[in-house]
Amino acid sequence: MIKITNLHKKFNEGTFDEVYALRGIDVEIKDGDFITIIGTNGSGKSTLLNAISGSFIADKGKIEVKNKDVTKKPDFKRAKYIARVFQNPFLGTAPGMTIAENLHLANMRGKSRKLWISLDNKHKAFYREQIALLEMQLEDRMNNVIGTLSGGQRQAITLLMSVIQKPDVLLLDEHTAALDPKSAAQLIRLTKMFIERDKLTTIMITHSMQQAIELGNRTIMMHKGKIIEEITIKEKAMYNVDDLLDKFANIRKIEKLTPELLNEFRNNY
Amino acid sequence: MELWFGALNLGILYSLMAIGSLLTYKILNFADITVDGSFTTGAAVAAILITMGVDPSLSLIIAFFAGMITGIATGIVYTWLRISGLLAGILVMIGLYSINLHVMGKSNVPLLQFPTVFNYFDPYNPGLANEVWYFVCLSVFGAIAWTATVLFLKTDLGLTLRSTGNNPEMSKATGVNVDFIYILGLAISNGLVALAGGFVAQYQGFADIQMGIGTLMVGLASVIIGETVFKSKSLSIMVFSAIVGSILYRLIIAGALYAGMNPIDLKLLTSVFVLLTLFLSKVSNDRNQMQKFKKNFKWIAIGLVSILLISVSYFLYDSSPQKKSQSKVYKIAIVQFAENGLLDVTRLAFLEELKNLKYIDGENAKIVYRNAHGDIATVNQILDEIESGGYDIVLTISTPVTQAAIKKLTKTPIIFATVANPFIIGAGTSDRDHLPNVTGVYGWVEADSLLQLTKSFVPNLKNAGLLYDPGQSNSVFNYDMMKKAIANDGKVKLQAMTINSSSEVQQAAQTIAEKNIQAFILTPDNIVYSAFDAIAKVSLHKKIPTFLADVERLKDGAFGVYGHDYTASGIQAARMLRRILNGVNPKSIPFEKYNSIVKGINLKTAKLMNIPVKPEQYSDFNYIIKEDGTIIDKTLKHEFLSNKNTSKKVALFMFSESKPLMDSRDGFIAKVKELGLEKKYNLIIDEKNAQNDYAIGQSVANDIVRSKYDYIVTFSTIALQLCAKANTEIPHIFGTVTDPFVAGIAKTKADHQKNITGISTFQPIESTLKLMRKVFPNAKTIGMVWNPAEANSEACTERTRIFAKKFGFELVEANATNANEVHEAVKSLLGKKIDIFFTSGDVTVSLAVNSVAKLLADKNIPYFTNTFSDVESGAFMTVGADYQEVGAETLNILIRVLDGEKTENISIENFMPEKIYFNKALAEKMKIQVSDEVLKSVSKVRTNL
Ligand SMILES: Nc1ncnc2c1ncn2[C@@H]1O[C@H](COP(=O)(O)OP(=O)(O)OP(=O)(O)O)[C@@H](O)[C@H]1O
Ligand SMILES: [Mg+2]
Repeated sequence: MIKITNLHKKFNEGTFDEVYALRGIDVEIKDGDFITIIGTNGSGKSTLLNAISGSFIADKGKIEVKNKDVTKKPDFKRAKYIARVFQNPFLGTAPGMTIAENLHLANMRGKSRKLWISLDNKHKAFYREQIALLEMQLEDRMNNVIGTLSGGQRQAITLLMSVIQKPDVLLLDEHTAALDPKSAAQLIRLTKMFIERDKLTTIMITHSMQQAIELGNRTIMMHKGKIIEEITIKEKAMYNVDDLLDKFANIRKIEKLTPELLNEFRNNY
Repeated sequence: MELWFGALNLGILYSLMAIGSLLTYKILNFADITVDGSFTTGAAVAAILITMGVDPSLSLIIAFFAGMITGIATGIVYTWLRISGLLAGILVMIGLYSINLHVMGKSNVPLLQFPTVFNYFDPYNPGLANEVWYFVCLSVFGAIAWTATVLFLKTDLGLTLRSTGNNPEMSKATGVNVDFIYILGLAISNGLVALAGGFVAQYQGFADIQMGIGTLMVGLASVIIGETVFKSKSLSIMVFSAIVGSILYRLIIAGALYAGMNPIDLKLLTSVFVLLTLFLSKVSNDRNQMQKFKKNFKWIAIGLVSILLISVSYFLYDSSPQKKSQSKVYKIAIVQFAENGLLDVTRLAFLEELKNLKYIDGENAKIVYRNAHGDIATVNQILDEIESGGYDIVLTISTPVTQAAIKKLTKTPIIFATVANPFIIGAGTSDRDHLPNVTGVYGWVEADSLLQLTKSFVPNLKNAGLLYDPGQSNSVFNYDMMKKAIANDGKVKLQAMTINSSSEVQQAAQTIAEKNIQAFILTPDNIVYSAFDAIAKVSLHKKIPTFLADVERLKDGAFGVYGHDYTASGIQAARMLRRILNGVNPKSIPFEKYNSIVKGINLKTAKLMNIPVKPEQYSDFNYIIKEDGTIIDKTLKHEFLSNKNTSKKVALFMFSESKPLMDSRDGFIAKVKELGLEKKYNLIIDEKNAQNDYAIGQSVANDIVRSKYDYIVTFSTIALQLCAKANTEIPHIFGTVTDPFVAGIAKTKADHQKNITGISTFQPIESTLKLMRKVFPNAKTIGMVWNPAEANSEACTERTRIFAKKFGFELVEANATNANEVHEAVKSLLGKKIDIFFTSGDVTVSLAVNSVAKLLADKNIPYFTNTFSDVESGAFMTVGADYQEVGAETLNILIRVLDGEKTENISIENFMPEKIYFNKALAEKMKIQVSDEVLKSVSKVRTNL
């Protein structure tokens, strides 16, 4: 489904605040894979997702989606295949528009927009059905503007929007991080439900070790722009949260070392 | 009511612009200043196409597309170059200034003589006042614009536009090419704004390069006002509120102007208001701060709503027929037969006396006035209306109306006035014995007195000419009286001729004039008196003096008058009315005769006819027109009406506060004071200034018309154009206009819009260059800086080229499009070895004249201009109009109109009070010798630096 080879990205190249965010990523994601990504802050997780969705064009390397080279394609063209949910509940929906209108816009993802009114009663009924799946009693508030809803409700709608028209790839970037524990749990339940229902190919970034272990068939660990570890489903069964945390602790310890010492350290191994 | 329709119409036209602003500012979340340029683009494209003969509605469609292109330009700059939206808008707006100029070819394109879309509406007008009818049509148009916009915003494309403005990230995530959507939104928005520009140009009758300035601000103000009024977030209400906001904005401006607010404060108010709201909406995104500001926001909303309430209630108050209802409101009908002097005087005096007696229209009385325009059939229609209208009392002015009324209305009390003889029409048999519901004031001209007056000035009177209409009983009666008087006299013969309509009057007068008559004696006759102009022509041409009974006709060239002062008729009738309304039965009120006489003479006519008149012959006259045209008026009418409420209101309208305009104004006012005109003509002069703003200028012009000024005086071309479009009735005199022909007011000197005349003041280029040659016999090169954006400046440069050749100079030119560029342009010319520097009629240079003069003085280059006062700013020599004199001359035209000349008969002459101002101090410093011959022609000298 997705094949990424030797992907590099530098921000603000050549300036004082140059950041080398991706340093040669190689990964292949198969149809139906549900990958969770964990990693330290600033390790490049979001950047990787942004590279896939096309927020920027990578400096080097190749991205293929469904065997098509999309490396140079702008984001709005990739949206045909890729749906995403951001961490910030305010980013995924248009707050000044109604629930129905938002769902309608999502339903048109990747299609051309005509000078025609297509948001008719038939569509509205369908959206009502869909919103009922969230079990948040939003069915009667279809004509309310999103701005009046809570963050949890918005994020659930954003998730629904991303799957209302089945995407080839679903990208989730810490989409529960800004929510309270109860809402987060509910959203995870919905996420699982949609992914299982549609057998969606999914990449999900999370900071919760629990989620990383419980969800998905593969887990990737990133550090300093690189994938440093991959845990397969078999291994996952053997890991628990503490094991994962240990791994992190190790990485953190390593981080305290200067790069020169780190090199020496590695060479000694 | 009608007063406010002009504002409503402007509001609807500008609402297209408000919708455009809504699309960018509210929907796309983009404050787009391109509109300041694209508004003008729309106006320019529409105007220029119309002058090329393109259909006005097609011109609007093309204007729309032109506007779209400007929006696309901003969109491309914004999305491709990734610079801020405001900066992108500013860039395109500035570029558009030049493009608009190229489109128009000059800074102002007049449309007065071309058809506009508004002419399409005219044939279907069911009889409403123009503004009202346009309002009806425009309302339909506004409703269409509203529906179309709302529907558009509900389409998939519209949804996408909204989501992009709302949340571009989300839009991108759903596969939207956000850049394209920005470009599209800006294109549609600017298309609408340009469409508004095209409409406004056609509505006001011209396009001007500056007219777009402030568009963004007004658009935002409209959107914000609308938003404050309607809190709902629904789409259709949102668009509707922009339209309403635009209309309210115009109404508020109209209301403020109406209430006498200074336009400068108005602008400040608008921008402070917009600024505050922008600020508040910014902090409202931040919750904590929002809490703090919520209270204040409430206050602002309350303030705004109260302003609205005040203007709305003012509006209602003004438009309601009964302002304050008291226990009893008397319904009074006035029916007048025709518009003619003595009938009008009767009515005015009646109304005035009613006021004195505390019957106030709109308070305790409802006064309805109907005029039959000389048509008996109409009289009957009017009487039908009155019969069914439940009137308490009817005043009938003139014999025909009275005659018809006493037949038709047998129950309603009738008071007649200005009826020669009520007995011959059956109103009664004596003063005390008359119809039970009828009483009134009457009196016939004593034919004998009129004959004696004629004989006193024409001692050799043998044959007297007379015209009358045998169809009117009072005419026949008056004629009979004269016949008797002449028979008694025995020495004079009467040459009488009958006429049936006013079109026959001239022919008849000519025929009688051939019959060896020494004088016309005209007994009162409605038709003859209202067609008196025709007789006056024959009379003057043949030098046969005319004597009659109506003092108003003296100004038109009659020689002598013996008649009643019909003011008395009106006053006496009003007093009778009070008695009747107080419960006295009309039956018991005897008929009264008028109690005031007018004797008048026109010495100017006497002089023209070479008829000698001695002062003792008119020592007891109470109305004298002197040889120079001034009037001595001691009649009751003058004392009763003129001194109180018939004061004449003059609107003095300047477009900006530039020096020439202010000088013109000063000259005008100084002369008014010097001649004591305020007292003499009972003038009230109201000054208006548009502060260089077109929309305000438009409102000022509308305000002048709706306030029913008696005369309009404008200084500056734009003020002239604005008023010319808004008003085709009130006499309008203009001054300080370079070229009224280019401005579209007139085709030739004599062929101009009927109600408008004035003076043109073209820069004296030829004499300036001639003067240069005299002062500098050896000079070779003249340098000249001018702004190609100014039509006037271009015209001056054109002339300079011609006369430079004639006087053997070489002309080198440089352009400057704003004050900052002027210096560079002058310096570039200094590098080209110029001997003399010259500027003429250029506003841009005039803004920098001080520093230009200094620059030139430092280099010892003499600087000539055509603005007289520039010597004070350091120029070497100026040949220019003394604008104070231009103002004074404009006043002279006004005086001619005040004295009764018609504007349509006054031709537009060039008036250039050429005056030379010489900077002797500078000449001495530059060591330039000026010959005595030149010095003699100089009218002002500056002696110290
Ligand atoms: N648009 C950008 N411009 C400049 N630097 C960026 C940009 N986006 C990301 N970076 C930098 O790239 C690095 C990787 O950022 P990224 O957001 O991918 O981290 P992350 O792994 O998602 O971290 P977190 O767990 O905090 O979300 C960081 O140092 C970040 O500051
Ligand atoms: Mg991140």
